[in-house]
Amino acid sequence: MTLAEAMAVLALSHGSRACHVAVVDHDDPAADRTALVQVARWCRRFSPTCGLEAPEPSSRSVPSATAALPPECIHLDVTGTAGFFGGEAALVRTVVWTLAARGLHARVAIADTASAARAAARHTDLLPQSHAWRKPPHRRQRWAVVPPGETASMLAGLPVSALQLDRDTLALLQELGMDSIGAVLRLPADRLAARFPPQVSRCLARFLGTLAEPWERLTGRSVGSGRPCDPLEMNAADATDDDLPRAVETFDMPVALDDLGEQAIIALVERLLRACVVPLAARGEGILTMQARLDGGVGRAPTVIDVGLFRPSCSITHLVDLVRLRLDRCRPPRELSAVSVEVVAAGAAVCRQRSLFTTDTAAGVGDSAESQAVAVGMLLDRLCGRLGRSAVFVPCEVADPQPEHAWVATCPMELAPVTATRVARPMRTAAGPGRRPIWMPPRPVRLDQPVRLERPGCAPPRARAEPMPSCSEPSASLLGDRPPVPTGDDPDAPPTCLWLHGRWHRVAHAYGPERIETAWWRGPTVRRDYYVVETESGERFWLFHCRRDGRWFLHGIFA
Amino acid sequence: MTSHRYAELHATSNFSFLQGASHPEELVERACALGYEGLAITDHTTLAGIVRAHGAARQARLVRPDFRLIIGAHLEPVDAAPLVVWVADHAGYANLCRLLTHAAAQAGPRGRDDVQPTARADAPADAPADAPADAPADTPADVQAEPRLRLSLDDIGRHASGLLAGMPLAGVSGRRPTGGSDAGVRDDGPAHPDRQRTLVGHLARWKTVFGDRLWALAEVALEGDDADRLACFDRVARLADVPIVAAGDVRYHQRSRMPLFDALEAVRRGGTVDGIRGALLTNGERHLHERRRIAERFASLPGALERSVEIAGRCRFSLDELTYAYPDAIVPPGRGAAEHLADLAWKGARKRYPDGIPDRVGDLIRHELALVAELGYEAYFLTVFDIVRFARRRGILCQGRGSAANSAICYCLGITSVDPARMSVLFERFVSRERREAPDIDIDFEHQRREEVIQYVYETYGRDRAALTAEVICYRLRSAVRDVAKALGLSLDRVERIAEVLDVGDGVEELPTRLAEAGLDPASDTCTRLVTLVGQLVGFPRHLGQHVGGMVMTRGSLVDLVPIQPATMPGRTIVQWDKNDLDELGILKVDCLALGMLTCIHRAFDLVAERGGPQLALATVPAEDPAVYEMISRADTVGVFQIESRAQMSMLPRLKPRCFYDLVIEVAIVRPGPIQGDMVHPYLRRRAGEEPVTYPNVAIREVLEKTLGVPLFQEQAMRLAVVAAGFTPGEADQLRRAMGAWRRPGVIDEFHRKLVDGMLARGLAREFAEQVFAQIRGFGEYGFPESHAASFALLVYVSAWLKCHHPAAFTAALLGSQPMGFYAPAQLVRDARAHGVKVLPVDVNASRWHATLEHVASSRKTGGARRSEADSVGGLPGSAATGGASGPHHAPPGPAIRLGLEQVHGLGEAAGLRIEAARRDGAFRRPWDLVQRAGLDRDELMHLARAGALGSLGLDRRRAVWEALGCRERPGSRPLFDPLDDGADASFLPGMTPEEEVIADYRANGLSLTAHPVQFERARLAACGVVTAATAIAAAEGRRVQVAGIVLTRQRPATAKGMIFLTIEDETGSANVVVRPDVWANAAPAARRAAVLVVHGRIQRRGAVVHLLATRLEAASAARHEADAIEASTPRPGLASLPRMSRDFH
Repeated sequence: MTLAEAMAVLALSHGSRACHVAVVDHDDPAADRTALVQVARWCRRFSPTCGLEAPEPSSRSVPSATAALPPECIHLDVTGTAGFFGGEAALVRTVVWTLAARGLHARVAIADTASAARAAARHTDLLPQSHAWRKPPHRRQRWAVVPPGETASMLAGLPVSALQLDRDTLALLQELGMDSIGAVLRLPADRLAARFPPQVSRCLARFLGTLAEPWERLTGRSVGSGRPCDPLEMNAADATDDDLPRAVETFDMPVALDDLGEQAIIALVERLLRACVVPLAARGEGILTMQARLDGGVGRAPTVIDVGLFRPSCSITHLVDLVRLRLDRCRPPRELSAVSVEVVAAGAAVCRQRSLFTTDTAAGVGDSAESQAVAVGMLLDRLCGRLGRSAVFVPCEVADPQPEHAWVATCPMELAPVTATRVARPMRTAAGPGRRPIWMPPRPVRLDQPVRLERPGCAPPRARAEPMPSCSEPSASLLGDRPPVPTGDDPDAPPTCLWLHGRWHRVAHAYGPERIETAWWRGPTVRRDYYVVETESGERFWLFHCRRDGRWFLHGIFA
Repeated sequence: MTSHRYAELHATSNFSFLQGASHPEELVERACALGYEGLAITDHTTLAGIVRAHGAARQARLVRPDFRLIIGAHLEPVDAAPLVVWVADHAGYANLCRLLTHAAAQAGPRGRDDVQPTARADAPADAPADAPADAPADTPADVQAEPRLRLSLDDIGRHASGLLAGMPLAGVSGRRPTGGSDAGVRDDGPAHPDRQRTLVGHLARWKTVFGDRLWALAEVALEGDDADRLACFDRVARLADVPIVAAGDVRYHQRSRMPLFDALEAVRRGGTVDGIRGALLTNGERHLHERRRIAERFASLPGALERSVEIAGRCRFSLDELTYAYPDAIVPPGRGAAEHLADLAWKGARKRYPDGIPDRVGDLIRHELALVAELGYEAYFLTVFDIVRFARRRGILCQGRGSAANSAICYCLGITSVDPARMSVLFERFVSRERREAPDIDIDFEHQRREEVIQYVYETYGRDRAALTAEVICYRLRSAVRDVAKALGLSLDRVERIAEVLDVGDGVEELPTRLAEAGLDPASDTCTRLVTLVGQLVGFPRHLGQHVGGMVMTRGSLVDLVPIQPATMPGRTIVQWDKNDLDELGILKVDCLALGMLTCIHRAFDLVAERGGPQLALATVPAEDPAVYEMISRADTVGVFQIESRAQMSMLPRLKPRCFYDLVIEVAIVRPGPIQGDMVHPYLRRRAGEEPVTYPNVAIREVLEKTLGVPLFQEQAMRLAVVAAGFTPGEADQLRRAMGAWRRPGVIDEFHRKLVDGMLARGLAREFAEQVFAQIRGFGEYGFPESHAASFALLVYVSAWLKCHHPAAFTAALLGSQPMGFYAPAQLVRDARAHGVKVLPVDVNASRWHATLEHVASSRKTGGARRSEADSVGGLPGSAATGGASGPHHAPPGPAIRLGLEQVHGLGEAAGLRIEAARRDGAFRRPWDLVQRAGLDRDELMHLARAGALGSLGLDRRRAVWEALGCRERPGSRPLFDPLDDGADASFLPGMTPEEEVIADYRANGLSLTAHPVQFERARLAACGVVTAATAIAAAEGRRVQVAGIVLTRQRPATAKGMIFLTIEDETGSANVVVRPDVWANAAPAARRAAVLVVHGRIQRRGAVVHLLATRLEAASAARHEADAIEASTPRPGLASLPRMSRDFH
């Protein structure tokens, strides 16, 4: 749904005010996934093995609707863990309630196979009550437990749509009178296989447990609670290839931060980092995203320092540097109970041929493009570390007739790959050289209002203004800039004098107009006549005349 | 100030589909209002809009006699810079037509305009002038994509004489993308030396073609560097030694159309406006400006404006100069056309009247021949005669209709079948001296064989002398909403939703309400934009389609007259003008129309003959059979031509036709014209003897006697004007035409005065005169000429006769001629069964492609036990007729209808014919036989299985589907084990309930022979107080009832003030529902589109006609849901899953 459509829908159902108070969130599958992963990670308290479902890609040439769907289920392998929570029924209830406490409405089911559990979770309403706990009649059943070995019998009544089949297959099965999973299971398997695409058989096999369910296990390891752990112990030795390392230092007693000192924390983080980097480096990988966590005392939220890099790195000094930069800006808990470092994402570290005379320092400067790229990446890392991620961006050109919309701020991470040439390339202006100014204020500045322009590299406007001797209008006010004086009869013509930066500019030449009429589809039509105005002192301003109300604006200054 | 003289030489109308945002008329009117000396309509490689501009210019010249419309075109050759050409003289026009024809032929059939490669815009800037631009290395990648129309510099060079040309220096449209990413081209500004060199090169190339007839077009649009551009243009023109002239590259007539233009651009590129914003023009300057502004803009180019006027002055050609010549008739050597026509006419007359030609007819023939000779239309008559003769020779049923039936010559030539001896004819309605316009003959052919006739015309006259008329397919509300909504960025789901809630006959005014129904806020910005743009877009031409059958033929080359382009259908070519354009220029066309009923009659005749009956023909069907009229008077007319609609059926019991002429009246009276003129009720009263029939004088009595003093036909209205008001016949015809809704009011007033004055002068009362005027007015467009009604009445009689005497053959023939008529196959079959005709299901071992007749021994049952059992369940009592007064039919043991494979949804005719052919080698025993012998693929087998057509193989529907699934996608793809032989045992498949069977029948065949879907819900419905249709119809006047049924038809006649007429059907019969607009508007959108409706309403009786006046409509699924709320456990397929059956008319 586009924003325009959403607004039109929203206004109908909630009144037109809703549009003004609505929070607009753009569709972002990646963010959805990240959030799901977060929930999954959080669910680790229930089971050491958890992950996301991995929908099977459709085998047909035409991708079906289900194939494109992002994952929406979290799988937990609770084999053997239910006992800690008082049995399976208690476990599902706990999961639902604890998630509900965080504002998440989950449906949860336990069954022999992941596929059966998913089907059960989707249709908890249709399943018999599994426990003595009586739900209030107005509430919907939100959990189910399918006892071992009873998958087929208990779930036979569920609709076929509970199986993860594509729409065509479902329609066909319905046409054959198969209205429940049980009916499908009664079909002779060999004949079914001869008539339906193979994923149908696979789907059934997974449901019954004869075929393993593909799912995406969360990487990283957790450690048992309470047990002191030597971070160095958990390294390459028992990390499998897919695992991302994690290292924890837990204190027996909470330690006051003041006792510890920043240096000590940094040293601790460095040690943990090294523990994480070593197994990665052995695989030829570097850290791309990592998380440093300072756990406070009981009841205090931990301080989490997320560090994202522009290119995978194994350089401990660089990583520590980044953590330090961030640490300066956050308020760590007063008491620390544990410090942990977890690698969230890793990537292949670029192997470089090191030349003889360059040193491998954080700021390894060479003149090759490659080393430049490294340097730029590191610079970006540091900038982000200091200023925050949102403060560092690359302006990207967008084709839009309205000048202030002709660029967007792009996260430098998204401009893959970050190469020196990419960054070093001068911005192209489609409109031709010299037609768009280098510097533009965030929004056009009205010329008949007091103007405070802080132009980078420009001295702030002088407090005292010298009135232009030849100008008929004497300087009446020290504060206000004054409207430009029109040329005379024609109100459309560019002004002859300008009051800017606290002084008068006399216009020598005006080029234009360039008429821009656009944006009718996203709001009121923008109708402007732009002029390039050159003053006698050689400065060039970009002005426009708003054709709707006749006012003048400054929209840029040419270098 | 006002002395600036200017003519716009470069303007694009909306006939350059999606590239212009104003109608040609709007451009012309605006240009004239702004005081331009002239306007050139230069559409992109087409002349489709030029006749409309011509008409507008003629109007404009009433105000400004010296305004000049220049005919031109915008050409984009593949190997040279774009060019605008203008027609200077007649030769130039012919050249342009040939050039455009050539371009269209090169491009192949053209549907929707393709998106043009965006980089074309910059082609002149990039392609070096001397290098051929089609060299891949020199052109951006997307230019190599096949351009829409392929023209080359040489093509244009060959047709250059008589044309003037201008090369736009700013490129195609001066389009300057704001985004650098577009086409990867950097615009270095106009003054860049490379660009200048390129432009000079291009100008030089064109100069070799056009010499001193070439100009350079300077076009600027406030892009900031206009002064530089103009200076550069001036320099370029000087260097190339080509005079420079001002132009505007106009895309719309006024600035306010810019949003529409942007939206069209988005449609053209298949994106949203926001998505392509970088490619949009940055301002709205491409409209027609005031001359003062233009003068200011081009102040630095002295003489640029004056030159535009000078060019306009050199373009002297006007479409008025086109002269149309009828094709040479096929005349035996050594004889004149007139002589030949007279011969044929008299010979035909002698054949028509073997007992001697009546004097009246002889006089008519002489009169007509004289008029024809005077106007020089002999060739035209001979041409039509030739086409008809061809069809007869091929055994294709055909019949002339419309005003041609007013001609005794046409009757004698066999073109029409209305006997002038029995009917008073008015030749002036057909050919008039005053009108000086081509006569219009419409001929109906069997719809499945019309292509043969069309191809015959092509063969006889040659493709350069004959072509089909175009039909300009315009944006209608639905298509406009779809395109604009997409361009504004609404999601496809939402767009579908809006299109779905749009009602038949909705206008832009209803759009906000509909948007609200689709879940959007009509007051939101998006919706207001949508409504505004849709309002502008509706009526815009979208593409050129082909007219239903109008053929244009000429003596000389047709391509000198109008460009011809290939139609989408292979083997057809169309001219670029539609029928109004051809009318405007007085160009002859013969309408070869397709009529499904002729196909049906032909097939029924064949079926009757096949079963040992007589070989019938239109002329040999026994006339004036009382049994037929008796049947018609009962309104038992399902399937009968023309009188099967609801309005007709409710009229029949009142009118009670007793003879052929009553049928003529019946056909003509249920028309918007007579209804609006309030002639129906007086006629009925007079016929019932409730009102005396009086005539003001004898002459009028003569005109109106046969219709009891009420003018019902166009001819009567015209004749009335002649005898009562002293009009000449030709004037009377003009009067009729002036009544058309689209004519200007002033003309009508003049006729009004003349008519009333004339009648007063002849001593008639003013009251009577005003009444006659009102009646004539009603005819304007919607009245039938008597001759036309008579032609149709013939077919009415023949089809009614067939229905009365050969109901099985008639129904089978109707089923084989679908889609046609008012009723779907389900109702036709139901009606046939109500008349005692046995209908057998589709079966691969018995059905042919079309429905056939079979003799059934009473003992033999086909289709397995299931069907016979169901037969007894769903015996259909009652009749479909409105009155329910169908007499007891003692069905004679006639043949049974075997439904054809055509009923199987999704099965193609080719597959059906393969099955027929393969069956000759023996019956099919297993599904695999069908794959192997008939070469069916799995999908086709699935369609058959779903339709239950494998019954004779011992497979019910589900097992058949199961078996079909076992067959591979393509025959022979598993050579080792062909049939998947895993035993016929499929006991694991659950059986189907009768309800499921019926619903599956409806889904796969559109009809069921076992039962009616509603009857399964009867108990539930009865619990809610819903009664059957039969009960409702029998209920007393004013009773409140609820009826549930499948919606068969939906009608919203233009004359009914927004009333909606629905026909709903349940297992006992059908009921006619009248819905007032407010009730309709209150009904939920779901109910308006529902397949099954529950109607709450009140019974209204008028004579034998019973209506249900609805007070509330409800979709059946909703009603069912309420009833089910308690026991809802598992959803099962019910009425809600029925496909929509309704046929919508308006």
